[in-house]
Amino acid sequence: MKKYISLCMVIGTMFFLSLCSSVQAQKNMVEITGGSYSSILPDTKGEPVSVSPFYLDKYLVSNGDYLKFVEENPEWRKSLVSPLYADKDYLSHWKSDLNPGDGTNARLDQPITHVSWFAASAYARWSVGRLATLHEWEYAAQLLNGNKNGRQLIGNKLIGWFSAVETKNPSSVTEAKIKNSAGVEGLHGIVLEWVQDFNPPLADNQTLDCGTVGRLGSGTDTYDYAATIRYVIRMNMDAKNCTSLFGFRVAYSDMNSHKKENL
Amino acid sequence: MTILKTIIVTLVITVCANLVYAQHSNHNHHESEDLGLQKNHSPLSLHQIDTELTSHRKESLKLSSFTGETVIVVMFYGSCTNVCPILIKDAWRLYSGLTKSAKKNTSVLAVSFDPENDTPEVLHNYAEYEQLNLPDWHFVTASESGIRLLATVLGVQYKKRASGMYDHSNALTIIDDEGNISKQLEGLNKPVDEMVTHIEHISHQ
Amino acid sequence: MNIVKKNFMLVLILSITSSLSILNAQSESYTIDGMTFGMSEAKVFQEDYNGPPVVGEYITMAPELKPLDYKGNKHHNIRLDAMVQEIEIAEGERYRAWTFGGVVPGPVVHIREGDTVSFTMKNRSNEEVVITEPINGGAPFMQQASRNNFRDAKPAVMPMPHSMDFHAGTVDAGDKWRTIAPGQSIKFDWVANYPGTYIYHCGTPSVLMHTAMGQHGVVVVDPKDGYETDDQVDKEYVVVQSEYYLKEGVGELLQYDFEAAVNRNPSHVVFNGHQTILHDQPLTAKKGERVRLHFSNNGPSGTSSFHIIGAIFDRVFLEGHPFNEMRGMQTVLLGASQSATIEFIVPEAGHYTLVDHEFADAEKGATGTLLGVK
Repeated sequence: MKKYISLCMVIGTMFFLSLCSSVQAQKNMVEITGGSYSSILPDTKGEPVSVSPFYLDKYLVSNGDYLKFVEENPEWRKSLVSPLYADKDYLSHWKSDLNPGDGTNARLDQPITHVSWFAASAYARWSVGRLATLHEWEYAAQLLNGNKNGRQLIGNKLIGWFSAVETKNPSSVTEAKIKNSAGVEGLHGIVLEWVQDFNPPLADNQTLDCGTVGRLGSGTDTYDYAATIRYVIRMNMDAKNCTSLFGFRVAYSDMNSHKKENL
Repeated sequence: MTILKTIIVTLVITVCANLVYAQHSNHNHHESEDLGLQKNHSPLSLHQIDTELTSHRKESLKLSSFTGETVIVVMFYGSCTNVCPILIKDAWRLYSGLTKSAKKNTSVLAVSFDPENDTPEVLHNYAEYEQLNLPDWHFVTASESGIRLLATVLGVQYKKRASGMYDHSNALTIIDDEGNISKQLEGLNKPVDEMVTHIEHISHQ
Repeated sequence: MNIVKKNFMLVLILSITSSLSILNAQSESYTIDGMTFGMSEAKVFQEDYNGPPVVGEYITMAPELKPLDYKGNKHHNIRLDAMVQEIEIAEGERYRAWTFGGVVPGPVVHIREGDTVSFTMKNRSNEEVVITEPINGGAPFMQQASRNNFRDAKPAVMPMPHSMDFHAGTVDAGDKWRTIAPGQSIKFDWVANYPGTYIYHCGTPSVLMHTAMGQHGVVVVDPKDGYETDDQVDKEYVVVQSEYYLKEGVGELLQYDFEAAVNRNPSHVVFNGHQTILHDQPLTAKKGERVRLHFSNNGPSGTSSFHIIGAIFDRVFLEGHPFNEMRGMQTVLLGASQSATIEFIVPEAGHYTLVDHEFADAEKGATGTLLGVK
């Protein structure tokens, strides 16, 4: 009798643990409730941009996550990737196709870098999600507790980060130096992130020439100034580019992970 | 009288010869300004893009469906009233500027940014309205991610506004019979002569 | 027979003239007052280039200037790659700079009014580029950088977009001064239509940040007929003034101080990129010699009231143009990106201190030495 009870307990515990892990998996998505924000490049000048609710990965995609992706998708391995979708620096920090190796930015818990926009998009599709849109990402990024001083401080930190960015040894994806009020980690200060429309068309008389910073009105708000720099870097990237500066995370329109997007 | 006639005839012939030479040297001069992707590099072929396209005739197509043909690609959307009609007209000017033999081997692929509104039925009405429901012309829709993928490969920028309208850049892209991007013309209402010559040139190879 | 010959000659002449006129219509450039405008479009491309980051026969490290040993005009093929380099800017003070060619200020380019430059730049901010080893095929600058490594330069990586703006060129900035991604290259032509000493700098926003981080240098364009005093000049040097806005960073390195930059409060104001280099390695001249200095204030934001203690400037050509000649100046006021070609006679053997007479700048390092010897 006792044997049966202990067996049931063991099975019950195992079931409970597996339930926990799937809940855990769901916990790694953060719901962004939507709203509006003042973008430095709004769709219409002077008007805030509205963002509908969506879900965002709590953490950046890591080397460990990406390893699973290339295990299941050989066409995205380092030696097999199509030159249409990535340049010669694709996964250059990994030792080989299925072995990130010992490099200073190849630890499994560090963010994946040296991936092109195409690779990031493919990973997102494989995860039954997508890349966030530029507005979604920027909206989530500025959810910083609504504290004005907080914004200024973060802006300052970010500009400092841009001018001395250390891409050889990024912090782990779980180390968020700058806290986000929605609970998303690592949006600032680890790497820059690919978004769906990283180089959107500029409306009307907006330009990105050397007078840009002043005209975007970012001279006074350091968060916006830092955002300008981030926009300029992101908008001047090439979709094939694989650098140590860019990683990404996955966004989802809804929790229904069974809805598979048709390629 | 005969001398005058001879002069006029020879002058006409010389000028024509020069114009042909100019077109040809024009082409050679600008070849280096093509996107630099060599024809024989099938690794860069767009035929490897798996995106499913549904045409206004409800046909299921992929880019590889056009193997062996030259394709003129243009991206637009149906609800666009200011800009896209001009762009579609540009594609028409390019297509209709081709010789009969080049046309035989050329298709036009018009891809909509707006999968939500531009369904195959809507695209069919659009094609009819524009009088472009021609055998060589395909107005297509695809999934959101498929459209974004194609646009990114082509270098076409677009963004959806809250209103449902799209901001977008404008380009006509020539894809050769092996699927490589061969030449591109950015902007609206531009002269298409060089593009015409280019298609003629690659059609004869 | 005669009529046929006449016919033939007429036809020949007509065909030649018509072909010439059509061919002319193809080329894009045109001239006004002897100046050439209308360059073809810049090309952005991917190249597998691992060679020297600085290429060009007449490119040197400041204060050296390589004399132009050719007559008339020349077509130069020049490369200045963008890259990150960890350098010393004052004793014991280092930071990771954004540069052209690995140094701040960038390499000095020397050409003549009317020369054509075919310029290539690869954005190598995503790779480590060594400048302190002699490389075959590089500019004279490369040898100088390896022999005179006073900056103790070390390669570094910070993938960023960059661009190049040559003030000496007259072009469509949206085309030629456009920004390229890390790993991309750009190639374009320009003609030096005007003489003088012109800044070049990165034009990617924020330009304040990119130039303060070190991406600036000069092109010295000799007037096509020279200066009146050419035969009397004994020594010729290039001195560039610029500001750094730096604060304590991670570890031992300094880093960019955005607030200081925006508030025009530099941490260092220097000549030729280093607080003490023009004292450690002074300029030299003999008593009685005429020294010509191509002096540029590269900013990014400050002005310079340039003076040499003990000397008076015999000639000052503002912006280096022979037409802009002034005589007998004690001090030359230059705004950000302005230059002057300055000549003075070394009166006696002794110590001549170059200063920015705005002493808040001088005391942050804007000083140098010219040693007058017997």
